[in-house]
Amino acid sequence: MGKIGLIISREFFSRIKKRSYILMCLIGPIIISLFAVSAINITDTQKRYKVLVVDEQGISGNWTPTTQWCDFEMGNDMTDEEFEHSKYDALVTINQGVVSNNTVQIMYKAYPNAHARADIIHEAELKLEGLRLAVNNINKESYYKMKQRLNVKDYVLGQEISFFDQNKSKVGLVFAILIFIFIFNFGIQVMRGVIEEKSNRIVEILVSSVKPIQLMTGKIIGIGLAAISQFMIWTLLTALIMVAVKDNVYPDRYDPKDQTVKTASSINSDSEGADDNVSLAKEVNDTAMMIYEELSFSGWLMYFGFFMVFGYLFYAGIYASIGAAVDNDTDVQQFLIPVTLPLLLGVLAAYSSMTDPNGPIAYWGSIIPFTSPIVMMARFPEIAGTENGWQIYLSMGILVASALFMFFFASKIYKTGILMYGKKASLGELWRWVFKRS
Amino acid sequence: MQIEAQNIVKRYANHTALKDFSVTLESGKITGLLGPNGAGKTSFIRILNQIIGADTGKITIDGQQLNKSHIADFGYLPEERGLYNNMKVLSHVVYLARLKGIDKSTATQNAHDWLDKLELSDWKHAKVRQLSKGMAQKIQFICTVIHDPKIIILDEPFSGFDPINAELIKQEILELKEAGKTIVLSTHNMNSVESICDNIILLNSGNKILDGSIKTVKEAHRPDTYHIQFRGNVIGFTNALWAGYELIERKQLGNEHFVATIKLLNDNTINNLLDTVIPHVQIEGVNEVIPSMNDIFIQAITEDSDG
Repeated sequence: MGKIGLIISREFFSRIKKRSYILMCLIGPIIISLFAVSAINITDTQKRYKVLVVDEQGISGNWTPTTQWCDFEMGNDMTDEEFEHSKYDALVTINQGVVSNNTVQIMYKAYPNAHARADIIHEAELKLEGLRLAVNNINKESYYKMKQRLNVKDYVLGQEISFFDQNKSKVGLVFAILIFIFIFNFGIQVMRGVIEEKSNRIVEILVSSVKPIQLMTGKIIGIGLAAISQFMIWTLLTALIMVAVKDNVYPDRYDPKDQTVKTASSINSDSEGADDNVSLAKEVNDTAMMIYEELSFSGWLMYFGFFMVFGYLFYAGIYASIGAAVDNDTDVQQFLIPVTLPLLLGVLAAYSSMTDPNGPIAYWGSIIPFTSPIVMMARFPEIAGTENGWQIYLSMGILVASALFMFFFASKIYKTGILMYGKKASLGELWRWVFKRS
Repeated sequence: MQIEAQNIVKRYANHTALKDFSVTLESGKITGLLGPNGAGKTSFIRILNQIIGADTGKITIDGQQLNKSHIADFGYLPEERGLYNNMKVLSHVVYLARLKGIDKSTATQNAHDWLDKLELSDWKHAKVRQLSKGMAQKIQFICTVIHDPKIIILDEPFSGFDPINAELIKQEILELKEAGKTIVLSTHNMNSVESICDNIILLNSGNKILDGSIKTVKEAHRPDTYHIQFRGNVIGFTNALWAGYELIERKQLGNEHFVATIKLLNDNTINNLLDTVIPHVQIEGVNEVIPSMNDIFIQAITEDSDG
């Protein structure tokens, strides 16, 4: 093992053996799971939706007046403005070619809750189901074999919304916050490690054996590996908890496959049995479906891993420089605030990018390396696969280049700073350390 | 290993720490590196350890230019020293030894040997923070020598030790000297300089102002001053010294019983002094005043600063 390997090993093992680290490995997944379960339950709002069904040709027939979450009324079409001032929360438009295009348009006044939306879609599917059976003259068994999910177009006051993408952005925001937590937490550990070595003077012994840049590299990588290990443990434990929640707390609630099977199995059952299956179908929760079914976690983890690693490398260099530039913990504040601020701004920009993913805050926030690891994580579900998809790769490229530059920059400050005792460095001195000839 | 430092200059932003400094450090000798704070000792030690580089000048080890391959040849105990408090003693010692480039099994074996030798075996699985200050100091000493370096640089090695442990460390240093190591000892403790150093280098404001063996330096700083113990008439004794001598001090030990400190002037010798005073008093004892290293240090620094 080379000298850097030895340093990495010491930094890694000294951290993962700490009680606080082990505790965080266990507490983290519980907190994340609680968030996820809360997100599922928060969507279970109690508001009933007044829904106007516009079916001017009468194709779908009369709708059940009342379901668990909605009250349906049949009526005439109205303009967006009329709808906005009407008593209705949603307007379902059944178009003339619905049997062939399998598409229904739903307009909401505000972003809908998942239950109401599921109720509306379910009712529409039931109506279309009857319609298709009659039109095609086929039995239910054959129909369920060829059944496709209804194509739903959601609008909020004329603006088309992507139901899943909005939710994916929320997941992106959670990942972005995780990146903030990891960068901040482990960046601070790098800084404290440097201060510890500097203040107890062991650094003088260390740099008589290894080059300062080796020492800094080993420390940053060792602590980074501890961070990655913690994240892997979090991922594994969170997955286990969520699977346990799915199987034991909501055994039949969120799995569309189960739902389909059960609905199909009810074909030959009596009407009471069919009603049971209807109520199961109503329980579909989009947040839960998204968490369990829609998200490609391997893809997310790849992006998360990239932005976490390079975001950490970018900031770890800065934190190491701060540790080297100060003489003790009390001097830290002056430097820490300007470094932490961009991270916090990143979280704010990430939040803002959910509503305006292509606005200037989201764009620049996801390009500038001080905030890009956080903002792009929240933004990429909105822009991946779109014409702005190239911005993801631009952001990644700039982040890698910036992390390398910051590493070089930090090594210059670190090299001189760790041997300077008794005072904190001024900005002028930092400038000299970086740009003086060695 | 013999170290030759030639014309070393080290400048910082606001001052020059070493000004054309040259010195030779011999193997099998302990050289005391002395000087007031800010004299340039730490800069020279850091340059030797390749922690920093000299602006100009050259350092050779047995004729070979100092380079990174010499890192394992050096053992360094800094003045203000620390350890990782959360590491276990044995792991810590092995870790620092391996950073010096020795393999794990040798490092572990050497660590056990040294811990036994300094009576710390019972603590090898304890965390560093559980150790007393003296024990931690011993661990630091072990970390300095565990990789069997040929050149050992000790900055205030006895600070923090009780007299028993200080003696233990002193004996270890003397053993290392006997083993042919080149030892540099930077200290402000002049007693330890006198007791174990063979040579001294005195630095002031980046300049070397003294260099040589303890014996040579002391010889060069003899003050030509003597303590004369006598019985008899003190007025006659004092009058006899009116030319060629300076009576520095006189103490009465009893009735007509005195000890006087006299400095020789004008190339007078001790025999001239005795010839002068014997007719007046009865001489009971004569001792030359030998300067301590402390006196030499203060005198040399004062003269250099005044000059």
